[in-house]
Amino acid sequence: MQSQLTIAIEDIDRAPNAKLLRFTGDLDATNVEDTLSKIMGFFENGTIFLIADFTNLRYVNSTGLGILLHFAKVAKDKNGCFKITNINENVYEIIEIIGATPLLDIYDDVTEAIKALA
Amino acid sequence: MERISYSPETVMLRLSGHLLSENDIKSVRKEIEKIEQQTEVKCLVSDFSEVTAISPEVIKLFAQCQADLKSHSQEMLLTGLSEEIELLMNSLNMDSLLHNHLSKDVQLEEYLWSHDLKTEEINCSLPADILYVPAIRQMAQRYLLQKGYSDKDAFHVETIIDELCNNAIEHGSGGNADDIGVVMWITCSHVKIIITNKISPSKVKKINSISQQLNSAGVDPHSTRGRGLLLVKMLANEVTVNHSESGTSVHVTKVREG
Repeated sequence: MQSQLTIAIEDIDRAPNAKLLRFTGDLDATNVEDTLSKIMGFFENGTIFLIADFTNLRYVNSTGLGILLHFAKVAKDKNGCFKITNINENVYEIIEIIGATPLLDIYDDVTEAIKALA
Repeated sequence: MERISYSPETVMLRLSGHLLSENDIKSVRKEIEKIEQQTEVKCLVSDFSEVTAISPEVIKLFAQCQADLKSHSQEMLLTGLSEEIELLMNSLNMDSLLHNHLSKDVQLEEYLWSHDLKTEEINCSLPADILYVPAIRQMAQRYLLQKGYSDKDAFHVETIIDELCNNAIEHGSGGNADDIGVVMWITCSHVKIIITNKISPSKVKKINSISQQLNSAGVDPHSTRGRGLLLVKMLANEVTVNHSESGTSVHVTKVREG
């Protein structure tokens, strides 16, 4: 059975081309395709500033991490951003082990990330 | 006298009735000698709860057996001693036996677990389809949390199982119900995991891929490949790979940290 993952979408005040995405669940090989198409849809529609809130993202595996890196690259290529916030300790450790921390735009919380949009 | 295999490393001898005669001594001695020769046995639990009478000679025999087992790095525990037998042991200065007596309020299971004398096993098979993997990894994580492992250690094991199962599925070409085997042996101090791809090497797309990736120095973070096995290598304490006609198995040991 596919791992459960929901992404709640919120507008960001005074940032028309930006969205806040709240992830809940696990991101792994079983739901990575759906997640990829959802997020790429934003980029393709001109919403190129994305902030991901990982407060309730419990688990990410290497496949999930792969698409996060992909989003970061696509955002950069489009002069946008893909910011990640509120990563739990376990997930952060995985990102560190892979050596991906310099490649991702990581913030402690959503407020900081939104400030950085300006 | 009844011998019970409590777990791979613990044997129980359930004693009963009168233990008074020379024959009783010989029977007990014979059983304990067999256990001494089984190197995988770490602990002998002698259950005295149904013993109605015991001679000083048999008690001294137990003390001798305890010392012999200790010389083989094996432990003897006693359970179910009646007050009378305890008094008799006291009068014979059998401190070493009494010291290893588990009183009634000590749960044997918990004692064995906390002293690393009990291994629990989870053994399952799944088809070579990634949709089955989340259930296995989440089950492993929850089970370890229940056994008192830290959130971090349980997460590490979950990640190891996830990455190795996904790798086994990616490199196989099965379609059968028991393509992937997952075995976990869990003790208080560590977890051993074996993930087996039961597909014949002649059908596997890249037979040496897993060995090569595990042995490589690292992975380019920009790369789309190889992160999973790097994670396994970094999270585990030991990783070995075995190839045979019956499939490929990856053996991992993860020592409990927290």
